[in-house]
Amino acid sequence: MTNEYLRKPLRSKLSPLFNLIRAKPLGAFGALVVIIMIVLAIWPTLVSPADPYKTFVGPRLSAPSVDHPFGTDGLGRDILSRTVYGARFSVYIGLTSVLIGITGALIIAVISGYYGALLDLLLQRIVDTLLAVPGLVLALFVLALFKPSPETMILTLAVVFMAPSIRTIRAAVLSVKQMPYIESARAIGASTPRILIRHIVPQIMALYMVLISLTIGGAIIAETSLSFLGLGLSPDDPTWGNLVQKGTRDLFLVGVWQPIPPAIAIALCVFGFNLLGDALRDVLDPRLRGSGVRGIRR
Amino acid sequence: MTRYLMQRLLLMPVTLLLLSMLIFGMLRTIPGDVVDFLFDEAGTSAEATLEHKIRAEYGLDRAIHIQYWDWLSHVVQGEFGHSFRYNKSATDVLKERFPRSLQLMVMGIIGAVGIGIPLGILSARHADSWIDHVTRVFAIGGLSTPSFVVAAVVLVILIALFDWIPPNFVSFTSDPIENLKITIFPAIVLAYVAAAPLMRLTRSQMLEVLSQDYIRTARAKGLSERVVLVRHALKNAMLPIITVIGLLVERLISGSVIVELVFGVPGMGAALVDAVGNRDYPILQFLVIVIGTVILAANLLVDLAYAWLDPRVRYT
Repeated sequence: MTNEYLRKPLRSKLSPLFNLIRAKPLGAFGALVVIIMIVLAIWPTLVSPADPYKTFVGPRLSAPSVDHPFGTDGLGRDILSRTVYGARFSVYIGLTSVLIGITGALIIAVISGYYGALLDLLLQRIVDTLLAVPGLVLALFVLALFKPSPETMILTLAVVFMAPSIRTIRAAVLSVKQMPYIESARAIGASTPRILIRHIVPQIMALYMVLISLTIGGAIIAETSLSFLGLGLSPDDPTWGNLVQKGTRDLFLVGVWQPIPPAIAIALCVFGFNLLGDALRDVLDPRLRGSGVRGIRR
Repeated sequence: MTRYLMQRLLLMPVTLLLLSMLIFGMLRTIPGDVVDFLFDEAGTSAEATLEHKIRAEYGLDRAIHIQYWDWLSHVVQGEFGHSFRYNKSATDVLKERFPRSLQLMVMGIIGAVGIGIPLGILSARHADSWIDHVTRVFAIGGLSTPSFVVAAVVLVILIALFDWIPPNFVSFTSDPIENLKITIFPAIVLAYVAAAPLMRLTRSQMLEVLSQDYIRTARAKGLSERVVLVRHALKNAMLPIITVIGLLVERLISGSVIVELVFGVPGMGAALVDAVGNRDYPILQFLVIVIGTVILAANLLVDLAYAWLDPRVRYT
């Protein structure tokens, strides 16, 4: 059996991949973009020709050339390098904040939905409160209180994206809770933690994965918007938001090309994560299609 | 229905109260207040007595629940505090800034409806054709591109092709033409960003409605395609579209924070970012609460309008 499999031509070994591309071309494209972004985030030197922080690697504000394909900024830093290193910040902050936020939402929603009563009422009023303010404004407010660092940014975004997901997951918990097998589990004397972890959480996992993949795009948009407003990391750090902000400020001096590469990078990255998220949602939980479950709240 | 209405109306002040507590608490429990900030900015080493005096003047030396109670009792009388940085009350700031943001948002929503709904209909009418693909990419692009990126692209086009120079802001009442020359560009950005979700929903709703029997009947009895689309299909497809208006308001508010900064419109969003930079607590908490009120009110209105327009919807 194994030998037969090995003797098959390469094309048929890869056929599941081809099938995926045929069935979900947009999702496959999204996956490709995401993989490229992650690779660039881990090994930026694959593409980046210079140190992104090093000043005067070329003339100031030079137009795109062979040495500097995307030109240089006001301090003579290479824009290609800075754009490539930007992937590191956006992908890292986007992934970790969403992972923390949605996992937190899962824990809170399962407890709130299962126990119900006063705890649920209180938690849901707090969620109401968080939902009453647009994510960007809420993040703006929280970031105003702390010194900028990747960790503050991650925690802020985690809180911002937690609220809408708590709602969605709680609704799912409420419907799972009604199912007869939960009652059976309770009847045979399963403990509450066991019911929560072994019987309810597995039912929610598909939704959890879908929410994570659909929220990452929004988190990256929020992160880049906040750095654009000057509330992200240090202005020297080559985040995409910083780069576009510097580029638009310098627009009036010279160099219309400056904000373009980071702007395209942001759009492409979010586009990739959104396409992948949509495809994952269709595969993992087709019932959610068109139900308006999009983690994105801006 | 009445019961539901009462519940919603009662819940709104509760949410707002919680919001104000949350904001008030966060602003005052986190280290580094406006006094530290002012001294940092001046670059002088703070004398303990002077710092204490200033804190006493702002009332920042009292216990937090007393400060909150004091603030709340003023709010009930319609006083929302004074700016720490400018000689203005919070309500003055709002009176000056809010109309400008509102103008941008109204222009944005008109643009969004004008682009989003027709494109959504077009996309559904020609489902799976190249028209559909192009418009869908346009919509996903709108969802994937942050508003500041769209704004930067608009700026690049304006500067590269038209040597555009950002003019100084003039209010609509003093010179409507000059004012529109400035506000049209941020409004275009807002319209694109808000049109995307509208378009996606219009498309999916139209597709669903177009597959129904009464549409086939309408076509079978020889009505023109135009009448079938507009009078039969769109009317029914429009209902759920109302529900995204709450979402649109949110997108427009976040978007206006960005475009006001990029295009130099001194509106509410710009004031918010200013207040963040200045640690101007009274303005900051007031603006966040105003925004919260606007969104809660919008969501409530959407629910009511939905129930009123669609008799099948009955809230309990």
